[in-house]
Order: sequence, then structure tokens, then C-alpha cells
Amino acid sequence: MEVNELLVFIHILGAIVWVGGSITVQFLGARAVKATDPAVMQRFGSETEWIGMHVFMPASIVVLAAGIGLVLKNNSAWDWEDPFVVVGLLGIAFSIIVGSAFLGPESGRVGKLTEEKGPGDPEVKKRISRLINVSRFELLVLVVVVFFMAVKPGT
Amino acid sequence: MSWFKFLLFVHVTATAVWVGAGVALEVVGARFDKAGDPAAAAAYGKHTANLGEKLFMPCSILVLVTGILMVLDSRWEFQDAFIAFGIGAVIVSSVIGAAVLGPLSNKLAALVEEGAPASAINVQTKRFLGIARLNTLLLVVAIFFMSVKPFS
Repeated sequence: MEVNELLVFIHILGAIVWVGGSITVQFLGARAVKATDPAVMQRFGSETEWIGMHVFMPASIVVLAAGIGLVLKNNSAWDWEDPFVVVGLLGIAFSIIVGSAFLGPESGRVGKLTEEKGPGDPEVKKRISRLINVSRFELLVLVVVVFFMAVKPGT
Repeated sequence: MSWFKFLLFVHVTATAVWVGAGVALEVVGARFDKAGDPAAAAAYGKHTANLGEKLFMPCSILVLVTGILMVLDSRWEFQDAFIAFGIGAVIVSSVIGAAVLGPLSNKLAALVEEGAPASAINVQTKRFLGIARLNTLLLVVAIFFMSVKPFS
């Protein structure tokens, strides 16, 4: 197996763990909100924070590193200015910043707040709704990146 | 955008949802198992059964159908090692999901609702997680074959 093939495998596997995991969190989050059980919502908040920091964050770094390695290894075919490379880098940067600066820490804070005030509290509801909307937008960005990576428009 | 590229996008996205969700659920399941909390085990069992029916099964069908259509629309053949292995892995994994993991997760939720002893719940959780891990491993090997395409 060549280095190039290994990098492709790592890049794809990292993206799968990251994007697929984020979609699962969306499904579980929608069910947790429906349940309106403080214990379930608190648990969901703390699990989302943990998985974001311990699984999604490392996976996103692996995707980025393997992607950079692939462009460097294939510099005769691909370039930093290629649309799919640019969109990929911007998408990853956006997601890493949003995930580490907002989604991860805010999930933990909302989980604790739900435990203290209950799921019916207006502030809890508002912050859960904001959390879900931001994570949905982030997921949409990731799916657009997957589209650019798979289809490679303009190349 | 060509038909082949569209199929590739759907194939990759559906694989990401299916396998990525499997990995995420295993990580969460392992944490619930460690915590030894029956309520968490019940919630986990219910969510997993629900995701299996509403997310994993449709995604696995989508992966299989788009994969077959891509072979028909390319120079690849069904006898190529990565395609034969991929189709085999998708079928085996779907059967394990529908015939083993789905009923096991339902049983786990039912055990907790009946108020079964913690030891029985733990045994069931460990059995579920063990089989789920093997299933995910099989899919990761399939992804390896798909991305590296050995023997072709």
C-alpha cells in the first residue's frame, strides 16, 4: 500500500466518523428535546460535550492533516486553489472553530443549566434551540464539503 | 455534474451517516456501560433501536444501491476484490443489524423497563456492544477496501 492510499483511507475514515457522528447527535438531540426529561437532556448535553471534544475534534484534525498530506503528495494533479480544496479547508476551519469555541462548551453548560432549572425554563429552551440551530448549520456546511470532495466541481 | 459523480456523493454521504453513527453510538454506549446506570442503558437501547430502523437500515440500502449503480456506470466489475468485499460486507452488516442488533437493543430496553437485575442488564449491554463493535470493524475494513482498492 502506498502512502497516498493510506492517506485517502485515513481521510475518508476520519470524515465518516466526524460527519456521521454529527448526524447521529442531531437525531439523538431531537429525541432528547421531545422527551422533555431533565435527566435525559442533562445526559445528552454532557455526552455531546464529551464526544465533541474526544471524538469529533480529533477526527476533524485527522481529516485536515490527511487532506493537507494528500494535496502535497498529489501536487501535480491538485492545487491549493482548486475549488474542492479551498471549500474543504474553509469548511473544516469553520467547523473546528464553531465546535471547539461554541458547540462543545455550550453543550456542557446547557446540560448543567437543565439540571439546575429544568427543561421547561425559558432560558434553557432558548439556549437548546440556539445550540440545535448552530449545530444544524455546521452539519450543512460539512455536507457541502463532502459534496465538493466527492464531486470535485471545476476540476 | 455527471450521474456517476452524483451517485458517488450519495454513496459517500450514506456511508458516512451509517458508519459514523455506528461509531458514535458505540462510544456513547461504552460510556453508559462504564457508568452502570440502568436508566441510561434503557435510553441507549431505545435510541439505538430507533436509529437502527430509521437511519442505519435506509442508509445501508442506499449504500448498496448506489454502489451497484456506480459499478454498472463504470469500468469496474462485480468480480473486482473491493466491490465483491464491499457488497458482501454491506449485506452481512445489514443482516447483523436487522436480525441481531435491533432485537438485542429492544430486549435491553425491555429488561430495564421490567426492572430486571443490574447484572442481567450489564450482560445484555456487553453482548450488544461486543457484536456492534465487530459489525463496525467489518464496515471499517470495507471502507479500507473501497478507498485503497487492493488487488485491482
